[in-house]
Order: sequence, then C-alpha cells, then structure tokens
Amino acid sequence: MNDILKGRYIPGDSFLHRRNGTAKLLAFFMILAAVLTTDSVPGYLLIAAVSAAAAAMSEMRPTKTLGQVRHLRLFFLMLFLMNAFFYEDGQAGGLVLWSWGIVHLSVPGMIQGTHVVLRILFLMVFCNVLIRTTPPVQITTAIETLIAPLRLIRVPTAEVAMILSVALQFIPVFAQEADLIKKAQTARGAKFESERLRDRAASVVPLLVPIFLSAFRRADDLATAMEARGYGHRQTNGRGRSQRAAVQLPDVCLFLFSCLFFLVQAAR
Amino acid sequence: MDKMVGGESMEAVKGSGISFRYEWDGSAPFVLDGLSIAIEKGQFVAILGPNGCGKSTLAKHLNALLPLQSGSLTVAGLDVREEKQVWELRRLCGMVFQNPENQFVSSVVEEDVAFGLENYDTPPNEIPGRVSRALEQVGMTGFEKRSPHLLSGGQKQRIALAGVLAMEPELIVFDEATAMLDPVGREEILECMKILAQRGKTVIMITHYVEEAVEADRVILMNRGTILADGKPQEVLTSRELLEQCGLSVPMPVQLYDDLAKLGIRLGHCPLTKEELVEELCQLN
Ligand SMILES: Nc1ncnc2c1ncn2[C@@H]1O[C@H](COP(=O)(O)OP(=O)(O)O)[C@@H](O)[C@H]1O
Ligand SMILES: [Mg+2]
Repeated sequence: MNDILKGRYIPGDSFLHRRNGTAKLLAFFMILAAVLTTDSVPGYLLIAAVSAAAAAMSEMRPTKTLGQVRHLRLFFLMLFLMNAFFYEDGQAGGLVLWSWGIVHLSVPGMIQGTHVVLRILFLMVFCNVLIRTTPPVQITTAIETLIAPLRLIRVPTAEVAMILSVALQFIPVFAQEADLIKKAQTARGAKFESERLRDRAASVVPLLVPIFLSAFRRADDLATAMEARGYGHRQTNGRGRSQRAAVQLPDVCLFLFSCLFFLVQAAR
Repeated sequence: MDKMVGGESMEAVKGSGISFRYEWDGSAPFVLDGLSIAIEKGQFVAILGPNGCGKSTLAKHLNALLPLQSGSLTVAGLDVREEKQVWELRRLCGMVFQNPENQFVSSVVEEDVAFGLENYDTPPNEIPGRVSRALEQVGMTGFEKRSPHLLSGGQKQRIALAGVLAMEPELIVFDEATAMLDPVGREEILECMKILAQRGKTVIMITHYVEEAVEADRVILMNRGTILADGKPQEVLTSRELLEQCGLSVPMPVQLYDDLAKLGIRLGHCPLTKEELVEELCQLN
C-alpha cells in the first residue's frame, strides 16, 4: 500500500512547499519545454543539476524524486529498443550495426532512444517534485487561474479545475482498490504474475470490470456528498479563492529561473 | 406522535404523507409509502430498518437531495420544496454518509473541512477558525495538514463530520455512517453523536444495526417505506415480534433475557446493553 501512495502530496514546509501553486505550475511548464529541447551531454548535466536543486529545495532525497520509475523499467526498455531498432530505415545513412527485414539496429537509433528515455525520466522527476510539494487544491487553483481566460468563451473553468482535482485525488483510492481486487482474484486463481503475456492480459479483464463499477458508485456517492455540502451554490463564482496565496518575490524568481533554464537549453 | 406543543419552531423535522418512487412509470414500487415523521429539536433519534427499506431515500429528502413527490416536509423550519431555500436547508441539515472515502474532495484535511464553507462564500479570514473549531469538536486537532486517505476509518469519518460541523448545522443526519468502520471507529462515531446530542444538536442516526439504535433516545423502526414503530429503545427494541417482522433480530441482551426466562430465570427488567445485562446478572443472587 505504501508503494501506491508514493508520488502524491506530502505535507511539508520546504522552500518549494511554500511557493505559489501557479508559479510552480508555470515553472514546471518552462522546465518541461527545456527538457524536451535538450539533446546534448552538457544539456543533460544541466538538467541533472537543476533536478538536484529541485530536490534540495523540496527537501527530498534525490533518489525519492524518481518516485515509481522502478515500476516502469520495462516501459523504458521498450522505448529504447523501439528507437534502436526502428529509427533508421536503412536508407538515411546512419551507421547500421545489424539488419533483418525492416528492422535495423543503428547507432543513431540508440542515441535517439537514449534521448527519449532520459527526457521522460527527467520529466517524471520534475512532475514528482511538483506533485509532492503542491496540494491538489493548489494545483487545481493554479490550473483554474491559468485557464481563466477561457471563461470568455464560456468554458466553465472552475468546474474543469474541480474535476481535475477530484480525479487526481481519487487515483490512489483506485490504485488501492485495484490492488485489493488483484489479491482477491489471485487467491481465486487469476494469473497476474504469470510469465506468459496471454495469461496476464486475460487476467486484466476481470480486474477492469469491478474497478469501473466501483468508480461509478464512488462518483455517484461523491456527487451526492458534494451537493449535500453546498457544492453548486456559487456556480458562477467558482470556488477556492481563499486558497489563492499571494505571489511573493521568491515565486517570481522561481518562474524567472525556469525561463532562463529554458532559454539556455533552447539556445544551445 | 403528533406533538403540537410549541408549534413549528419546536420541530426539527416535520413531514407527513411522504411518498416517493425513483421512476415515474406507474410500475415502479413506492420506496417511501405515505410516511409521516416528526422529530423535535435536540432529540437523538435512531431510524432503524433493514437494507433497502428506504432509509437513505428518506434521508435524502431531508436536505432536498431528492425532490418531494407528494406530501409535505419541513426541516429546520424550512419547506424542502422552496427552491430558494435549498442551500440554506443544506447548511442547516448536515449529512454524513456511509463510505468516508467517497466524501473527500481534497487530500488535505483542512482543505476538505473548508469545502462547505467555501461553497457558502464564508469570508476567508473566518475559515481557519471555523475549521479548527470543527476539528476540535471531533477530537482531530493536529490533523490539519494530514491526508485523509492515510487515516483510520473512524478518523476519516470524523473528518467528514468536521466538514459538516464547520457549517454550524442544526441537525446532523448520519446515514449508516458507522457501517464500514471497525468496532473502534464505530465507537468513535457513536461518541461524537452522543456529544453532539448533549450540546443540543438534533442527531438522526440511520442504521440497520439494532445494537446501535440502543444508544439513541428514541427509535423509529422503518420497514418497506413506512414507519412500523416509534418509541423509546426499551419499548421498540425489546419487541421480538416487531423486529422480526422487518428481518431484524433483538439485541443480544434481550435474546439472553428471553432465553433465561424460558429456563425459568427472571431478570429484574429486560436489559438493552451489555452493561445493563451485566448489572442485571450480578443482581441475580
Ligand atoms: N437511485 C436509485 N434508483 C432506483 N432505485 C433506487 C435508487 N436508490 C435506491 N433505490 C431503491 O430504493 C429502495 C430503498 O433504497 P434505500 O433508500 O437506499 O434503502 P436503505 O438506505 O434503507 O438501505 C431499494 O429497493 C433500492 O433498490
Ligand atoms: Mg442506505
């Protein structure tokens, strides 16, 4: 269960905990852009330095910033192999080490695969830092602030933000439930741990049905509970205003630094 | 049952001839069938009935989560049909539901407790004070920054209750609020109910556990959308015939009292709780 609960908000009082949610989200987007434009060794070193700084500012151990990456090692391996074997089509002139039909193991492919894996890895690190230092309601408020202009074209921005936040905070509940159902069905002979892909795929279906059913029941319950507590009373105003912390100088600095980071990476 | 003393203001709930069905196509059964109910302010009432007898349906009428189809119903002095008063009604009539997990809108305790206050445009500088007072009332001071999902069942449900209390309601309905809890959590919530009742709030405990209904001052026994019996726990919960009629069984102490009587052993009077039972048994010789 502790595994499931990793990668969510951890209350604290670090520098990043105290930052304004909107500033953090904007900085996250800038860093995201910076990471996606990186393609050199010095670039990755800089990103590594920035992620170490982020870990320090959030008072997390650097290894903790990786969150659940461990569970995704197969996914990363697949990403790398896909690129390594399919990046070159045999005509482009890159150094091909081995060919078989349409499959070409190439050096440029391996380099590309490394890029893709590293970028996603760093994105996950920053995403983790954001989620661990920012309560969901603040993320919601930040999203609400950022999409506020859409109100002009009649998008119900407060509702969209509310949906996002509720969805976010139900993820661990579902994960816990999936785990429980999985155990129950393993006890009844389902083969989640089987080496054979077919067995594993077949065992997922009976897992999905109860999870979906329970999701609908939960959604219904939650809607009732929210309505009973007056949700919908101030539809026109949106909610959560009191959560909106004032923007302070460090918030602005955080954002400016992330912009600078992006410019440095992009200009390389 | 129709106490008219003091007129309307003495009554927290006053309804008569309430009928309800979920679908309007003549064939659907009546879930509430001409039910009438009156609850005085400050009473601690248990609504007891088997699964599917319409308890939750009745509860959802009390704060207009379901529309009144026929009959009349006034809660906290407000007519539930009056659309303009719906929000005030929901503030005055708080509700705690069965599954604590499905009531949280935030993963931080204090934010969740403040949810209702924000919906009611409470001035931001008042919110922290009211949140901490609500948490204090349920004995959860110090949990402000915690995540509700990491608390025990009883603690979760107390947080949900704090969210209701922050709005300063007049009556609080607990719809099977203990049904998913372990014995410790159950005890915690029962304790909260008793304290609220002592402080003069109207408390309505909805349950299908006979043992829980014992704790209330008055028991309303429901079956198939109507009220079967209404009275003190000593009157309603000792009647094997009534309870069995709706598929419930008498509390263990009453069962034992009856069994002993069959053996020719007479206790002073019929005990309802384990404590009373022990007392009676000690007085045997
Ligand atoms: N949303 C709904 N739509 C249709 N029927 C419902 C709905 N909710 C409850 N019912 C039916 O109404 C009856 C009473 O339900 P409910 O009030 O939840 O009972 P209780 O709370 O006493 O267990 C049940 O037979 C149930 O199947
Ligand atoms: Mg119910």
